[in-house]
Amino acid sequence: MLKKINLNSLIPLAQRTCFRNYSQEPAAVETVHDDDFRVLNLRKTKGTQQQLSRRPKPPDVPPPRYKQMAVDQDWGAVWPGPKTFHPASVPLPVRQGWVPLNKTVPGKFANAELMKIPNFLHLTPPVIAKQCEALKQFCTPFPKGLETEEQQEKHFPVQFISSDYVHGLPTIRNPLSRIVTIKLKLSQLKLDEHARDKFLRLIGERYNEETDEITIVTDRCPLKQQNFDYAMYLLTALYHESRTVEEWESSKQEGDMEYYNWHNNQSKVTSTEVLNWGLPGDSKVEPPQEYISCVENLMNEGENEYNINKYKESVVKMLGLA
Amino acid sequence: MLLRRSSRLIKPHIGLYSTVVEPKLNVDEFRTIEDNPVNHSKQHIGKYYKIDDGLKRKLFSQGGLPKKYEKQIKTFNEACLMVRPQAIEIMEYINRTDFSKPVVRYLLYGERGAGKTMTMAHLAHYGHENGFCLVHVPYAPDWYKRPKEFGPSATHEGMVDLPLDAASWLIHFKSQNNDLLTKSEVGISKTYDWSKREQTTAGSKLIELVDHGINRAKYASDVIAALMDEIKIASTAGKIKTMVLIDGYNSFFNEQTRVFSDTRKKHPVTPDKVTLTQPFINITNFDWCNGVCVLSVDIFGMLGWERESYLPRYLLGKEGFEHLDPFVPIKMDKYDERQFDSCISYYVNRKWIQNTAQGFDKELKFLSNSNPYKLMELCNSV
Amino acid sequence: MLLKSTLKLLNNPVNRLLINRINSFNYGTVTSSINLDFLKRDKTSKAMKAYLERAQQHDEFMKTQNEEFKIGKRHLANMMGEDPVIYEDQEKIDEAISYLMPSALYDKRARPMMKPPEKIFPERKAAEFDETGRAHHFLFYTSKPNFFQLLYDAVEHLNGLNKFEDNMTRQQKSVDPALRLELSGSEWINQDQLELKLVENIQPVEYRYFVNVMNRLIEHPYSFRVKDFIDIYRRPLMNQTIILDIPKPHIDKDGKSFITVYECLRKKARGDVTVRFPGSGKILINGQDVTYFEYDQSREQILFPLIFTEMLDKVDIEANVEGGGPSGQAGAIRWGIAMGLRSFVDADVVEKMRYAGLLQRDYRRRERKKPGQEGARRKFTWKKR
Repeated sequence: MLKKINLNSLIPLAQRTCFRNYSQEPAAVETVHDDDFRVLNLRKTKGTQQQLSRRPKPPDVPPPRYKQMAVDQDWGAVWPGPKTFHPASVPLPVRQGWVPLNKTVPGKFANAELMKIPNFLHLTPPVIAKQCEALKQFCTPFPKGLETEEQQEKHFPVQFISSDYVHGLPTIRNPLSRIVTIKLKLSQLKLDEHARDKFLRLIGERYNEETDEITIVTDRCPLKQQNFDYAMYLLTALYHESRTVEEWESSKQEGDMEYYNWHNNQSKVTSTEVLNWGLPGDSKVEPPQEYISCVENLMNEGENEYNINKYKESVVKMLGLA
Repeated sequence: MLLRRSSRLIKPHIGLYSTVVEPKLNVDEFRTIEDNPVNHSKQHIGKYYKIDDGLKRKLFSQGGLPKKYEKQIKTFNEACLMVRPQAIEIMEYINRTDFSKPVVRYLLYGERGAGKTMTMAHLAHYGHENGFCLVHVPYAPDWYKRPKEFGPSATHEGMVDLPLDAASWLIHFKSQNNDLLTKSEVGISKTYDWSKREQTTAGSKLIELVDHGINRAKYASDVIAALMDEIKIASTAGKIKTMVLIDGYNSFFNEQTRVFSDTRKKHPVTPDKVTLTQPFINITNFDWCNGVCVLSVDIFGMLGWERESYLPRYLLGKEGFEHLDPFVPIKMDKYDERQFDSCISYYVNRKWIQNTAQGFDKELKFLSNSNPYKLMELCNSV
Repeated sequence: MLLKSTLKLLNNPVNRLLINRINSFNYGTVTSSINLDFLKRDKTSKAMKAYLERAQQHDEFMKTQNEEFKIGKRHLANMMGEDPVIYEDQEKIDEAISYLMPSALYDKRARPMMKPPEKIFPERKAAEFDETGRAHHFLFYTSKPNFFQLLYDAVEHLNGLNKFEDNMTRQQKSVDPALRLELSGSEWINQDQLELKLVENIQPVEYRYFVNVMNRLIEHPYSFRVKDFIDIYRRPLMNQTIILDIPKPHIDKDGKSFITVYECLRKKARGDVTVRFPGSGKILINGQDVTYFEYDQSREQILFPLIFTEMLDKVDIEANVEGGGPSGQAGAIRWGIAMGLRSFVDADVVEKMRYAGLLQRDYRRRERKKPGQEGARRKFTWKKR
């Protein structure tokens, strides 16, 4: 039954198609021009249309925001603060990702690489300039009479160094911010020879010989102010302690000396004896000053070719070999 | 070595077919016929002079020349020394010295292989020709690093004796000064009692004292101490002139030695506990005249861990420096241009360097950095 | 390539017709010409149609990309507060991007970029057949026509050269050695580059065929006659390019010229070497003379470049080196001296130095010890029991 009907309907269908072929309707033109193998559509289903309707409809998403941006917009208003990269807000066709030579670099959408790296989109030069301009009203003029390094050093000899930290924790106190360093030129303290020597012994390795600078670092107390007070206390105590002369300081031995003094040493005895050997008792010949300074240099500055040569010259002169 | 490697390729061509004339070297350029060091002066600097074979045997048969140099002498069939400027400098100082004044101590220092020992040998020759009595220690560190035998001293409580080393040094002393000792009439100032039966009476000759030490090795160290005293007395009195030459002087002030106070080798002693030390420290003191001291400090006289610098203050230590002060430090430098050329010419002349490809000397100079010892070592293979 | 292909398409009369037709498809309303088309019985193959569709899509895609890039440049100029004109320069764009999105990734290709679409999207092959589906290229059915064309050309050249050689031998002429090809400074392009060049995927075995054929070609005594053909497939050696850009010496305050070579590396040693010209052969290593190195071998290492170029007493050397041991340090200084000396010697000598391996960095490092072994390679002593 079904077959019959189909067979019957075949002829008019074919005729219709033929007719359509010759007609000038645009829809018919397409079917003719396609060289597709014609399929016998007995059930007269609208195959292609049905397939189309089965496809899920894409969600109705508005186009990305950057498409509406004007090219002379105020970028600082679009991206006011630090933020992870967002592809729809950044109007640049940036790409990132390593690919082999003949492949395409991934674009900005759904690109985790671009989100991983830090960005300075909130700190573009015009924004920085704007912020500087806004901050200007809070600045005060630089104090007069402190223009040069020397002036600063003269009026403010003690240098105070500490650090403040900004960080993302519930507490605003960073334990490292308690550390206080004070620096000072030793010459600013105006110590005499004894006091200076004692000061250096007390302060130990905190003195830098090259720059004549003393550095005191305090980190014992939990707060910055306490550490600063402690550093100032230390400096005061060191200063006064170095200026006092204790009783036992007079009993300093040769081994305690921090530098070589020719007059306290064996060198004086032997060289004097060498010069006076075989001479009648009263007349004493003293070694020349040049020799003395040479020996002292050799011992104090350490040994090097130059010092040894100087020593040799002075000895040759002293012994009358030249 | 580059030269050597390239030479393998080049040699057959040059050696067999080359018509290149070997560079003719004027003998006078690197040699001097002046064989007596007394006459050496600045004009001889950098030239080689020959030591007579018999004399060499007399002066250096018991040591005094480096072993490798001895070997080279054998190969070259002649004993030649280069006249170094430092030797001439000391000779000039000696010529100018007022011998009535305390002895002047000269201290040679310098890098390893710079020629300290060779200069000492040259000066020993000079002293011998000049009629000095030689007190020559070929290499003092040997006593402390490689003692032949050690045992507790019989005469000094708590000290260690090196009888064989002491005796062999006396032999060395005797062979160097044989003529002088037999000829001179120098007598001993006091009587030395060695044991109940043995004694050396006052007035007897120095050589008797020396012979006693050689024959009775047990007393050799004490004999040396006595000998040093007697030499000082005799020199001060003007009877003899003395030249003290000690190589590796810093070993007397070392912190430690390889001499042990017990036979089980458990407790190493310091140098001042060795009986040989004191006499030589004594003779380098300034309290005598009519003599000269030439000493050298050697970085290899130190024990392994303390070889940081070759400079005298470091090597002598505080004690040694104070003992010697004031002394004249003299630096042994590396070869300068002239000495280097002369040395190369000498080696070429002796056919020791046979591959004289172009630029070989520059290459050698760079590799050895003009250090005499290094140059000698490098030339062994060219 | 794509552009070229489109042009080629346009030049072909058949294609032109085709494109007209496509245009009518897209934009034209229905006209009487359709009737005519039907009568002609259009023979356009399906493959051609699919290709044209693809090409059109691609063109459109590129157009939008270009548009976006153009607007992006304007935006960039606005963000950076600059005149848009300066961002016509790609370098300026790169600079701005690296300011906005700084990245320290090692490979520069992995860093963020903003480049014209032509640089981003790879080239594609043009149509290889006409509208009837007939292939243009006689090797089309090998599926790699360009590659096999290349092999074919190479063999063709080889045959031509053989013929020429026969001619020459008949005339009893020999080849002039001066004309021989100088190929020491270059090598064959690698497989990736060849693929890019041919726009075809190639298997490793096919790349080997290519290398073998080309090697046979250059071994031919008259290969200089086909130099142009050979040069297309050669690239300069990496090292060669580095060696060729010799830096110009600076002048110091004494009027001496000097070159400082930084990053002299060998094993674990690292240092910098300064070569001064004219000099007198002084050498300073960490403030010390050549005795810094105790062993002869290390000293010889330093000597080698100086002797080789005969510059031993014409230059002064100053070297700072740290890390590693004596042989590594000596090797590092040797390389530094050799690199520095390039500026003071002729090109011939530089070439000789390269041959001698003086300019070659030694990349060898200590090999690690392996677990279960005594050392890097050595195994524990094997005992039966």
